Amino acid sequence: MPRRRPNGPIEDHVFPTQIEAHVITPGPDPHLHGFSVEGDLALHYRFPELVQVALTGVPPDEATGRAFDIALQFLAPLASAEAPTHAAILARICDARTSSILAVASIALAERARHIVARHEELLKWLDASIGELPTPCLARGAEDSACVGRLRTALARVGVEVPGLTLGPDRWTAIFMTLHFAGLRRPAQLETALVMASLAPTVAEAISHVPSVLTQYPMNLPAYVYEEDP
Amino acid sequence: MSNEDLRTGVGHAEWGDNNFRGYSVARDLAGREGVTSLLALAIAGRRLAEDERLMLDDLATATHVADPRIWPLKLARVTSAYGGSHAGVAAAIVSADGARLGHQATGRAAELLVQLRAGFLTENGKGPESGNAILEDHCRRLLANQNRPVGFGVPFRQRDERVDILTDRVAARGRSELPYWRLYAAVGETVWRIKSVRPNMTLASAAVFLDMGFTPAQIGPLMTAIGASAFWANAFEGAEQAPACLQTLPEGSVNYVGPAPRRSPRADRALSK
Repeated sequence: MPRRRPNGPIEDHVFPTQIEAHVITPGPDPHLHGFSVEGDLALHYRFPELVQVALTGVPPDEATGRAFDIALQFLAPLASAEAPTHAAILARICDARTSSILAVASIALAERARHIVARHEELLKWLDASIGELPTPCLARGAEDSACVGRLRTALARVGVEVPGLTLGPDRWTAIFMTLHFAGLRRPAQLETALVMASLAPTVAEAISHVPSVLTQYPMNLPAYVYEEDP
Repeated sequence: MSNEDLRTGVGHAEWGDNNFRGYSVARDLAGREGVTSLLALAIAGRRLAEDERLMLDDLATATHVADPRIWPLKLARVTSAYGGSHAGVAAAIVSADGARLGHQATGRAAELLVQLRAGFLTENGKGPESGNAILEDHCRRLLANQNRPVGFGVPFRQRDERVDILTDRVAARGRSELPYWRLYAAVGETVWRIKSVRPNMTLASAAVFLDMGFTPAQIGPLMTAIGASAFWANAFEGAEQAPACLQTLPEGSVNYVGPAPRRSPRADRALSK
């Protein structure tokens, strides 16, 4: 038998014996914020609405549920040029396990989400206050922005939803944040989570469509690097 | 070079050799550099003098606390519980980014020391030994703004034993009189006198790095890198064990304190029909 070391600070301190849970109940018939997932939410709500319950604690009404669903779809696709998908493709080319590709994609998506949400801090304050004109940096800057916001308004209108602010000429990201805000997601942690979960499956799908270990098909000089010696 | 080209000072793949940070791996680095000094070269882009390398080796050793129950290490254990050691290390490192707890906070502790030192210089103080009133004033302001400034506080014990080990090594290496170490020691004593809070390993480590000329932005990642062996130890053993009791904690381990069971509005409506 290995000899035991004398007590240290962890043995000599009294700690709780249970881990606390605030959202998910353990055991069979799990509940989210008090709502049975299998006996209630699965019967009456779609998956995006379950996510809203998880993130806000409140079951959405029809309008906010639809708005969130549509916002997630607008957020979902990230082409190979975007860093999370690019990173996931590189993991695939390195013949990483699917779990590792998922982990790489999740890390890059989370970093991207943090970056985007931080960039929109002023917009989020404006959305909470709901007063004054839309800040100038949030206005559409071209036909592509306007066309995207038009498609978003069309998709929302088809399910009878009108998100306040979309008529003010917002750019694409502002319009999506307006829709997420309407859907009840206000805090950076909620928004970042929505961004990550929206894109995870398409990002990994793009990565695993590539053939592993085929190194010559990857453009190593895209973008080009120029090495400059320090010393 | 087009506008889209990226500059790198890190490395270049070559025929028969590789270049790293401006040095030939074959001619300049192989047989001359150790792991700690390679990490310093990687992040700061400069080679360490021998006395600096030895000091960083001492720091890497002194900082070792590898008990799997400690929060960032437990995180590595839980994440590696399905058999993947790399996932455990990756999770521990990612969680350190910007966190108050863990090696990366050494960078923020370094920012604090840099600010305090700048305060001395701008107020014509002669240095930490002068005081003294200037130092005391800085520390009181610091404590007024933040109840527990980064670099201070030692959970569950009177003093951080790693600081004591490092202090001995700093003295043994003849570096106790360097400016940031003296500032760290003076600030530590002053805050202890004012509020009975001891400095922890992040503040002491920050002083060692700053006395070598590293910047706070370099210090956080460098400390995470040289301190990663405790992550690896826990993630590797954890992955080997892949214990069922970490994959799922034993029954009764969770204390749910959230809302009581309730019906959703749509379920209510369905029942009322």
